[in-house]
Amino acid sequence: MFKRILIANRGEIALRVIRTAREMGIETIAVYSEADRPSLHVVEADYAVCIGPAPSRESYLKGDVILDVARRMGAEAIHPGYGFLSENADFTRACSAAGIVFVGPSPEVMESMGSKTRARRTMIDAGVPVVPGTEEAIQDVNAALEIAREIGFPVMLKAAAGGGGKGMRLVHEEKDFVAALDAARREAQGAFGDAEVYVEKFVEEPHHIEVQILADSHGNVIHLGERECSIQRRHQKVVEESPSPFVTHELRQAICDTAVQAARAVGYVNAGTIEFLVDKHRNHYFLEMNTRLQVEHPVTEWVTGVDLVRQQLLVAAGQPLEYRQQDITTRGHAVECRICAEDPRENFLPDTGRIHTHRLPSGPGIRVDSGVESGSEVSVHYDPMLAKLTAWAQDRDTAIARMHRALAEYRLHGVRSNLDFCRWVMEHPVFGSGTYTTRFIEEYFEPEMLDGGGDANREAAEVIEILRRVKREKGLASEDRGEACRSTAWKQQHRRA
Amino acid sequence: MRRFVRHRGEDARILAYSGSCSAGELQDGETQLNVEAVARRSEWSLKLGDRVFRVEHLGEHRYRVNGHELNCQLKTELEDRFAQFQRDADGAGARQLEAPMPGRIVKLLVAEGDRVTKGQGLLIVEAMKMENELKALSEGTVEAIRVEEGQGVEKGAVLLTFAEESTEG
Repeated sequence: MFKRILIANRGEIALRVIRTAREMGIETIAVYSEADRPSLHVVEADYAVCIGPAPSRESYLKGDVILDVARRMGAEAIHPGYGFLSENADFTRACSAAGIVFVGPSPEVMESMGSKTRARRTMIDAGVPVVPGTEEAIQDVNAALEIAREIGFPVMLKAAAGGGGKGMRLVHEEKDFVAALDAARREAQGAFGDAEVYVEKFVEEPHHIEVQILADSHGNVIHLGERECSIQRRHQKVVEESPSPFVTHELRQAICDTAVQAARAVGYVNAGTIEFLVDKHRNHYFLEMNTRLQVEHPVTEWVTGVDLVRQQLLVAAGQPLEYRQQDITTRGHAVECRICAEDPRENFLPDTGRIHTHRLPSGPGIRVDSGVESGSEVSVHYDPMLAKLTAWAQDRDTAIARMHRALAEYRLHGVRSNLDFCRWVMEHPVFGSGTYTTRFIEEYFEPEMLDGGGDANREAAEVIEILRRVKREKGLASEDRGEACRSTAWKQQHRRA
Repeated sequence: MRRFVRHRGEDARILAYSGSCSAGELQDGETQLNVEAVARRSEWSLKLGDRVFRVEHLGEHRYRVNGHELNCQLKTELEDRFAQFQRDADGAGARQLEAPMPGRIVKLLVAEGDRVTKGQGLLIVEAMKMENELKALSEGTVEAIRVEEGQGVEKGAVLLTFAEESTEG
């Protein structure tokens, strides 16, 4: 096993890797930007090297600088976390050229999965279902109709040069097809100067469901079940759970087998995730493969008991996985909320500032992967995700109740957060029923729904408004009398407010 | 005793509080409640009667109570009257600024002939030991100031007037 590794990341995921490395007796080297010296991943590492100014492209994305640090510090491997350099094939190549192990798949696999069209072809060749459709624009109306019939209605017409919904047409029935195609072409011509249109199967009421896989260099490939990730805002996941309440036993078998088959087809090694779109009829289609550890991996760790980072490091060191497929059983249910510095009332716009209070929930079945603490600065340079709150319980309803309880315990002051929004999701009957789709937030969420939870709560806030005022006036009065004021901090704070 | 006005939709109700910043009594209509609060930094453990609330102050008038966020701003009776007065005057498009209540002119913030923008502070009036800034309700030019700093004024007294605006061009 490695004696020392470098972690080419920051925040909660760097800390996540440090934790497992320490348990395995591996020393860790943190890299950090000038803004991140006080950050937890630096505080908790064994060694730390500053690699540049705050902006990521001048620090965490500087592969050459990071590789130099790794060489100089005697790192045997580099764990990339997620984001930054984690799916950068050139960096992976540079690592192996320098004789340093990259904790992840080979650059060839990374490249074959990196481009959507290449990944799609690879998967079709491997017999993995993809969203049926044409890869090239269709000129002939009759040929297009023939393809639409083959795919089966409803179909989606998409402008080749498309974007922003222009040149897109949903066609439910065959009789509307020709007129819709003409309209889509005219619109595409007008908007993009290019009338080319694709035909694609329309995925009805889509669910975003993904399968975690692990593969070693000895030919073992296993899956660790699925995660449901359909609660998304701004095309980013915010709530995830495992297992998926929408997936039946048969579908689970199918997508997990498909995922293993896909991983084998590309010769995948290390931890990876195959993402699927699942429609309301429970048909599944390959979406993409993420060749790294996922943000939401803790829900899989909860239900399987497997430490994914540990397996990643073992595999990277050339050892076999510690589990065979028959060793993997899932128990209970896990839910994750990504706690972000953002304002759900303002279209989930990220917020920045200093966190002056950060106190984590605890108790049975609660895990928090946090990259911040009281005093941390949330800057524009990095992701607004501050922490991942996960809850496990023996069944889904109990896990949701537990998450709801933990969200209320969470204290996060100084920046706006989505804590109240996550509470709203946990209380929503459609979320509770487990039938939600990727359109959940746009279909059901209105900011006015975050309404404070009733008159008793409102009265409590009113009383605090009064008490704050009494205190402020008392402070002003003692200042007028020229008295030394012992409590200046709150006074300044309230004056600012 | 401090009196505040709570607006809930069309209803306005008086909340009367007597006590310190950590303990006291709240009169809410017919109901009287014991108030007891333990503060730390930006949060309170608040007891209203025997019921415990976890109240967090998130900034300005934003709170989180038992895990639910809400906005809450209370005005004193006096401030509420000021606000009402400003709303009324706003509707009237008045050419003169009148004292909304008896008080003392603390400070003049503009001079005769000044061009003022909507929302700009004109003068500060002290009433019942609270200072209140009276603001311009619309853009205009100060024609005459009828009061001096330190002067006491009665309710309805004309404090300053605005020049008539030509509507053409």
